[in-house]
Amino acid sequence: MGTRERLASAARMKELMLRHFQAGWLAREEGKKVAYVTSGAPVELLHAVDVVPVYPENHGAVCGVARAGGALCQAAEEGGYGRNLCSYWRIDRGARAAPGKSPIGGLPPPDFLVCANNICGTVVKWYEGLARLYRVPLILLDMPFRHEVEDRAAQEYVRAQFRALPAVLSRVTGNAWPEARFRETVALSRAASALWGECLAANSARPSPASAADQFILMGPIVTMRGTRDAVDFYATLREELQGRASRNEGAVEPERTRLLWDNLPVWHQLKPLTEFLAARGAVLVGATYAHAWTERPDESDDPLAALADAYARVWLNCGLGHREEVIRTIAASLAADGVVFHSNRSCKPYSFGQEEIAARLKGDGIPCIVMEADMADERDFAAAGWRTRLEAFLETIEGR
Amino acid sequence: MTAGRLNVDDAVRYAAAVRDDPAAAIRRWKALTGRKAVGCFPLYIPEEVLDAAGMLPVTLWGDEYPKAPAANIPSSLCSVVRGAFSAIRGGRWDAIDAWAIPSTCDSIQNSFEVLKAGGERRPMFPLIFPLAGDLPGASEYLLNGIEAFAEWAGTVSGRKVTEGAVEKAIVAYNVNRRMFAAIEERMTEAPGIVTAVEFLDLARAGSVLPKETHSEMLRAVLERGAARGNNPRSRIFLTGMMATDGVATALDAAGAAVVGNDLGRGRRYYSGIAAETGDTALALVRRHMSREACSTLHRAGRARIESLFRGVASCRADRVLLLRVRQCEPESGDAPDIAAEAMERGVPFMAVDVDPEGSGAAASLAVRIAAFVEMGE
Repeated sequence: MGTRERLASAARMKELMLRHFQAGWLAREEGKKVAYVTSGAPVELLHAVDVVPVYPENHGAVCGVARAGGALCQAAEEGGYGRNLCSYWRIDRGARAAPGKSPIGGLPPPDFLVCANNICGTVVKWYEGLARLYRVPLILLDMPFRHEVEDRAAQEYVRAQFRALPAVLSRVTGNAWPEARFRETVALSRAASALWGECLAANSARPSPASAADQFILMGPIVTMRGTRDAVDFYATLREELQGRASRNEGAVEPERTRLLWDNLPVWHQLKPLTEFLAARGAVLVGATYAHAWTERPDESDDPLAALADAYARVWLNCGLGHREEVIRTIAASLAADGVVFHSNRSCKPYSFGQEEIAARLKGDGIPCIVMEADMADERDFAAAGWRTRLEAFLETIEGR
Repeated sequence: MTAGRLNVDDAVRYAAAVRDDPAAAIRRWKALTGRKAVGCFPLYIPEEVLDAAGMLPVTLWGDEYPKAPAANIPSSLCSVVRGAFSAIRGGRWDAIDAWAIPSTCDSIQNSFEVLKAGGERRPMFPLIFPLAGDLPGASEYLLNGIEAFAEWAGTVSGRKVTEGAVEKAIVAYNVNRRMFAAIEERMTEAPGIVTAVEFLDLARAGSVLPKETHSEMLRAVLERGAARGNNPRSRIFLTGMMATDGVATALDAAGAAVVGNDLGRGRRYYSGIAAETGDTALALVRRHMSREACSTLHRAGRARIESLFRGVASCRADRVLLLRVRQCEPESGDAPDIAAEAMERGVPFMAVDVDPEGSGAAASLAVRIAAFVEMGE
């Protein structure tokens, strides 16, 4: 049993991401401004005004994969940041103190910051600190949590903030608001998210042409380049590659016996060993709620700001557990998953708090679930032996059904 | 529940009794009034609305009862949420009839979802505050939320929330806030007149008792003679979310006097006067929007740091003790910049993790606090 060779698109993705990181460093030379953005911020507006977006969260993931997270977190902890804080945040602070410990040498300094709390409240504190450190403007977007059905007052509140953004960005960048270009970026963003959704859906084939580990790596452009032609082209190519594999019955893991769905961010530092461990037992992660989160896209509308506001307000982590449970059930069914692995992520409290409840409800309906604790990017918080033992038992339980 | 005309010793004993078993105090109030109690997660629920509906707002800080071993809660969550869930799931808060859960932080906000998914059947209301007062539409959004909250409270209690009732509640809360501010002022002017343990008990009692009763308790303590004050070994300013019994006991044992604070379960809960005339919902919105800087409210730049050190200076505190609830992200995030500012200003500073769950750390906490109090003597 084993894993198939890497997708050809992975090389292109690496190239794109390298260019993305370089763009941040080159921005000043090209007379462009750099904005740090949270992953749930409407980057389409920044692309429209030619601002180079830089994602500290993405940097955290890169450091996690390179197993540099522990050393960078340690550097932040030495500066007074508690070990309980999000590891992306600690990595970011650590890289400012010790950029040499980052595999990409840290991040270029920002001209301003754009922070949306639709993924968590942690980023607000993180960005408040960055604003103090760099003495740069912080543009904040407050998107109230959607506990239940859509709340008209919240919708209006979020839309009001989005409507104010063009003027704010014009002021910060000194450029006039390019409405036509903005509409184009929104259309490109919508197209990229739709293509990404099709890439994920390709895994409904049996055997699954890719694993969630592939998706975690390949999602770089949808997180950082929404609203660009590059992202659209990349996912169009990836879709072809995945559908080609599926049509040839080529699986990411062969032979494929068990199909699992993953909930939460990946354990970045364990992507390879975890994939290999599962593959050796005929198991593949066919999907992940985290990858699926980036299929959310603005509706087609004459009012793209409002459509964008609505789309960003309903992202996965900004919705209640009822919605999340429903989506997990839908994805699990569409991908024919045999069970769900919930990564209880020490760093991501909003993602993790409530997983036990969802798992209990799924188990009640006969869907096998397991909740495993780790940290997404701090490899110091990982008990490999415990994970292996529990996963092995979980797979045996599924196979014994 | 009425305290009658308390003397100072009665008041202190009463506060300690509430500390020891807050649910008993709630049950007693319910037996006397036949009304309902609403459990509020920290921090900024507009309690006047609940009071106006004839209900008793009770704030849960998670340290009221010993923790049950497992409440199926991720170990990475803060002690406040872990403690509250442990007590709720352990049946300690059965006297509570409904829940009000604000958007203070990710974990508290998600508590609404997790309680519901876990089968909680008591009515619940999730109150979402705007992140910052200067965002477009923030006041309107909060106004809408407070009006919906009032409607919910009226449904739960069976008593419609009227303008007149909210106005009356605002007056009672303002009286209480002024009394608490007077206690804090006395602690600055006559250090030691209220011990750290007493201060913590008084602050905590106000999270449980009706405000009229709590005000009577505070009035009694204010009558304590200034001679009770002493010459402390140090004048401490407490910042952070909450003090715990271990911290308060250690401060008293070390001979320190708390002369100021901006604690969540302290000044931040009690400060801010709401307008007593005009539109009451708007008064509550304005009160919230003009709150003092807090780690859970967004303010641009260095607002919290500057506000903290203004407080330290005005209280003539000679050191700052940051009480960081273990695994509280908002507080942990602010801590390094506060520490750096203290160093720059030459103000002795120490941060300690307070964890009501970790009783085993009480001894080392006491040693650290004693050393901090003695520092520079």
